This record gives sequence, structure tokens and C-alpha cells, in this order.
Amino acid sequence: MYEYFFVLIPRHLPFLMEGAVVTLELSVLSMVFAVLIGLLCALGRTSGQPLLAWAVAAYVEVMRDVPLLIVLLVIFFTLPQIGISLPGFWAGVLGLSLNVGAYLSEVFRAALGAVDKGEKEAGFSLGMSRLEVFRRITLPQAMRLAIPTVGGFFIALLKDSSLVSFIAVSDLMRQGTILIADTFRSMEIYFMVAMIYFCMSFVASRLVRRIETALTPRYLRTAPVSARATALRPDVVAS
Amino acid sequence: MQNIPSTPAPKPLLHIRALHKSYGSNQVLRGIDLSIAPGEVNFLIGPSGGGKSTLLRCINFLETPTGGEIQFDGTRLCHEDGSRFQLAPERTIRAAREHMPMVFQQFNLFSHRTVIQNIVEGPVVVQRRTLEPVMAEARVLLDRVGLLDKADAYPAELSGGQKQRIAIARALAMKPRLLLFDEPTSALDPELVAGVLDTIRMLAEEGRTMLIVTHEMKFAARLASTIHFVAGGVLEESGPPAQIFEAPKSPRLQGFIRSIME
Repeated sequence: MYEYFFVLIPRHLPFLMEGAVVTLELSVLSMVFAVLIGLLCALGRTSGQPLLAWAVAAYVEVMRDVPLLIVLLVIFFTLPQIGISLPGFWAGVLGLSLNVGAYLSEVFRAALGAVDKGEKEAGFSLGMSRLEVFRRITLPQAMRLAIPTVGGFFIALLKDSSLVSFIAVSDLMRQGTILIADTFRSMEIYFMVAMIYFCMSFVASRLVRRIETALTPRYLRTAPVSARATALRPDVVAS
Repeated sequence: MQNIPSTPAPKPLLHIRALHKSYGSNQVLRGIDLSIAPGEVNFLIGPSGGGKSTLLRCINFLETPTGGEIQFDGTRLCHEDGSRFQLAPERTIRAAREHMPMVFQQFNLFSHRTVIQNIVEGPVVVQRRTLEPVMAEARVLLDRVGLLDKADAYPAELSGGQKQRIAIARALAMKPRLLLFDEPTSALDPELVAGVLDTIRMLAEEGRTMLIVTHEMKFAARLASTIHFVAGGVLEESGPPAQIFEAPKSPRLQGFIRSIME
């Protein structure tokens, strides 16, 4: 016990934290691209262009049905054979964002479809262009609907990103593996790695909840407005 | 018929000729002719499924007509060139729409925006006006529909009647030349109908040009300059309320009047 907390942790934590930073960078970047890919694909699928819709559907299907690890390995080891050579970090970003983007496209498609058609018509009847209707009416409402699911995917991504350790990216997982090869103390090191993943995911899930609350207008928050008003002002009940 | 010296008719604000709309082989509108002069209040009545809502939606292009001509304020929005049906460019249609906003049966307020944001949305986004004067105008409009205290409420916090009065204010904020109403009271609880009808009556008294699809026959009879009876995709009969309700000519309209009197 004493050795773990006062010798092993101080000795190895800095090395693992370097990896944690890489994991964070990788996840955040991949998420940004995944959201863009997901949105564009959702639009492509609902565009009414059969060829585009078909291409998007095929991409989504492939990404969902092939293990992420194989996608990463193909990008890192096979693409160089046809002249596309990416450094491990960017190969990781590409693989992860293609994977999560495919899932998110379905999330966004559902969210965009859930926005009331009548509200879009109201926008058109005021003379808005299709882009204005999308930007002002459809997108803000769809985003609010999608946020909890997108947040969940980000937390999953934080952990799935450990697969990039297979393609020589010095992320948290790989730093841990290196330490274990060096010290043979697998249990102690894995526990540290797990704790770091846990802390990152925990903070991330709290952040997602914060964002969700901030984006939810008061009429949609769990407690009805009148109930909250009476809870805050007992005098209303008395009257 | 009296002999009144004929004065030149005012130029129509909306002029529709031989308007057709079909979905595949299903013909919903089979050649509608209709003219609305500035300041007139026109009503569309008729049985459900007869095409009156489709006609209204074709006028501001929420549905694309499939034949015929629509002229709004001197601009041709669609016409037939020989046998080819042609639509005006999208920009022209959009520019026309902003002057004939629609009030919907289901209100269709932007649910993620407050009441005042709903009202300023059109003027700010479509007409690119600056926010402050638009906000001031929106408050005046809200006051006139009696809902100034709801400026910062969300639509979900309002009753149906309140929502519809906000929707009317949103349409008015565009400074429209023509107001379109698609069954504005059909989704309301009976006790909320009067408030919305009062608001529409107020607009009529101001001399606004309106085209209203409704099932409120008494209301139409009191307010209309002209009532159009639409059934089976054709405009069966048009005339002042007295003619439509007391001396209908078309047998179909006679049947319709009988059925609603029961």
C-alpha cells in the first residue's frame, strides 16, 4: 500500500499523464470531426438525392459493421501501400471520427426529423430561404435533442480511443503498456490507467449534463414551471 | 340588379387564373379563378377535402401548383407559357411570401423561441431590419393582441388562443399586404375561439386584406366582402354573404348550406 501510493504513483503518473493528454486531444479532435461528418451525412441522407443517400447509407453500414480496430489498422498499415501515409495520431483521428461520425449521422437524422414540420412551414411562409429555415429553426432544435446522445458518444469515444495504442500512438493505454513491459507490475499500472480513464469520463459526463441543462429552455426542464415557482415561493401556495 | 354606373375596379392584389394542383393522378385543384382587391376580406368555405386549404397553401407556395397562373401585387409567380407551366425563380417567390404570411391551424410558433423572439424573427432574419425598432414594433403588436405580459414566455406556456394571437402578431410584424389564415380557430377549445375571432375582426376593421379558410360560418357572414365556396377542387360559387347564405345558386352550395344549418 505504502509503496503504491508513495513510490509507484509519483514515479509513473507523469508518464501516464502525458498519455492522458494525448487521449484527450485525440478524443476532442475526433469528436469535432465526427459531429461534422455526422451532420453532413444526415443532410446527405435526407437530401432527396438517391445516389448521395445511398452512398451515405453504405458508409454508415460499413462503419457500423466493421470493428473499429480493423478500420484503424487499415488506415495505418494499408493506406500507405496506396501512397496515403498518415502519422499515427492523425490516422487515429481519421479512424475514430469516421466511426463515431457514422453513428452520429443516425442520431442527427433522427433529431432533424423530430423537428416539427409545421414550424419549418411557418418559416417558409415568412419568406425564409431553405438555409435560413435550417439554421434558425431546424438545427437549433435538433441539436438540443441530440446533445445527450452526442455526449454519451463522446464518453464512449474517450475509452474506445484506447484502441489507437495498436497503431503506435502514445495515448494513455500505450503509455501504460510500455510501463508494464518495463516494470512487470501490470496490476498496479492498469489500476492507475483505469483510474485516469474513470476520472476523465466522470468529468466529461458531468460537463455533458451541464451543457444539456444550459441548452434546455425552462419550459422543457423536468419540473413544470408552475411547480418550481411554488417551490421557490411558498407564499404563492398560501394565497 | 341595380344599375350603378361602373367605376373602374381597383387593381387586384392577388389574381389567380386556372390554378391546378395534382398529386400524381389525384387532381386536388381543377382550375381555380380568384381575384382579391386591396382591403377586401375574402373567405374560403366548403366541405373538408374540397381543396380550400390546398388553394391557400398554393398561394404562398407551401404547395407548388401544377398549372395555371398566380399574380401577386403585379408580380407573376407562376404562369403557363404555351403549354409549359413555369414557376418564377425561387427568389421572386420568397420575396412575395414575405408579404403574405400565413396563420396556421396548428399555430406553428417556433417552440424554441420566446413570444417576442417569434415575432421579431421574420423582420430581422428575412427583412434584415435592425433589432431595436423591430422589438419596439413587436411590443406594440403584442399590446394590440392583448398579450404584452407574455413577451418572454415560451409557446409551450401559452393556451391555444394565446398562441394563435401570437401567430397573428408574428404575421403582422412582416407588414404584410395580404394575410392568409388556414382554419385559424379549428384547433382551439370552443371558449378560446372568440378571442382569436375578435383579433381577426379588429384587423378587418383596419382595412387589411385577408383570405381566410374557415368553418365559422357566422363569422364569415358578418365579416366577408366575398365568400368563395370551394368543393371538389373547383370554385363553385363566389359572392357576398347574402347571396351565398340566402340565395345560393349552385346545387352543391345549396346542399352544403342545408347540411350546416342542421
